[in-house]
Amino acid sequence: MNDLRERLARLANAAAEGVEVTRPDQQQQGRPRWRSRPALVAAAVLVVVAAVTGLVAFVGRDDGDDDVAVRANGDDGGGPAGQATDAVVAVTYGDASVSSGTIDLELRFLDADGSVIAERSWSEVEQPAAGAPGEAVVMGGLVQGVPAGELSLEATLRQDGEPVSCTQPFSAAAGDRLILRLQLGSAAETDCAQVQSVEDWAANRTGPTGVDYIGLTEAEADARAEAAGLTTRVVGVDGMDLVVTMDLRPDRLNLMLFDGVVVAAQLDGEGAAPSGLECPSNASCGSRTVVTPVLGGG
Amino acid sequence: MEFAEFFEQTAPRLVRLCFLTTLDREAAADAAQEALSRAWRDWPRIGSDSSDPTAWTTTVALNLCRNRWRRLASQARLVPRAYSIDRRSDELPDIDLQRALRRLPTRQREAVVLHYWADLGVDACASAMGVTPGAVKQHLSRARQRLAAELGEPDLELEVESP
Repeated sequence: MNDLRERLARLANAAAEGVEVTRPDQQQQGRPRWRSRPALVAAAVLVVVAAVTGLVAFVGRDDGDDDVAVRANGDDGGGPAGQATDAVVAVTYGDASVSSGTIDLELRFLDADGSVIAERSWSEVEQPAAGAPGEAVVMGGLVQGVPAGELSLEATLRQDGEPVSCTQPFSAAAGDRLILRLQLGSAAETDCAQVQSVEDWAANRTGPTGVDYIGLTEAEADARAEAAGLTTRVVGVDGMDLVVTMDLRPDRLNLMLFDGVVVAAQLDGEGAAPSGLECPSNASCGSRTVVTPVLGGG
Repeated sequence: MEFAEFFEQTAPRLVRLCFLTTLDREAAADAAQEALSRAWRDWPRIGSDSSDPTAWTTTVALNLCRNRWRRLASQARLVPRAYSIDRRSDELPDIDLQRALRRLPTRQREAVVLHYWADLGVDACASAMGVTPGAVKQHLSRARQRLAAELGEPDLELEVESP
């Protein structure tokens, strides 16, 4: 026992060498100027949430081969001044089966003047997923705070060949929570994303039990559910419907999260087939299935 | 307690905990940073005298590490990463232990790390993992068997200490 404890301690200590995490309150000093101007003090809560937890992206592999390059404009003075994070936009690039290979994806948020609000690029070397020879499951997205106004998202996908690019215009009003689902497989240079509000995404996915969970963080929802004798699972994140098992467990609360907060919650079975009707064998009742925009396909 | 004091006490431990549960330094740094950021955001509530911010942050960090999507989330922040990793330290010791831990199911690995590394009792492990104490004991029992087999030490006997 002591041997295992010592080995765990040695390994953990070695892994922690050279890892420095930053105090979140000090982290704020380095935020891009367009998100830290004095004019935003009145919206401090929104800014803090966006800066600390909101600017999050999801990429589909954790095989250590990711080469992530990230830059948010504005900290060098080059970004649009005076903009606020009035709205939050989640971009997903799907849950798609693609051939193994290198995938490069670049996303840029532009304001009405064409100035870059934020941009990101990454490269992934995909590996075959278990049970799916020659294919890999890709799932990703990001959440970005944006100012209100007429904006656009430029997306470029490079996968084993010519890049596929498109620009998706969208409007954001203060308080909006939007989802942009990229469909980069099409040849379209515009309108290559489905635009949906979080409210529409989460519509009709909250049951009577789940009402009290709306607005909680995942940890808070977990704690409340546990106190109520329920288990939880996340079935949707930032506009993405996750793969879930189809079993029915009446004590399981299905959570949908956007920007780290519960936007819908439903017990298994709530909102399923109408009373007296059986769920068809080829349908999903009370559970989520996956919407899979094709990535890089024809 | 002030947040600064909590951070100084908690951050190193959280990085280690997250590493042992993910076996990925970058993911560990991400999860620890995110958990501490959330702790700071909610500090007025969880930092009160009646709360246990360490337990809260541990649970949040474990959730982040466990949930693939949440863990991957912070790999692609649109802001510069708040943490830094010295790449020269990529060579880690005890490959056998790393391999054995990696082959454990997530819950078993969490139970082993919380109980044998973090020195938490069964009840505290259960609270952090969001499961019952009985489930923790079961995870530990199975993990011991697998670790013994993986590490080639059939005599490996790990006591489960009472809460």
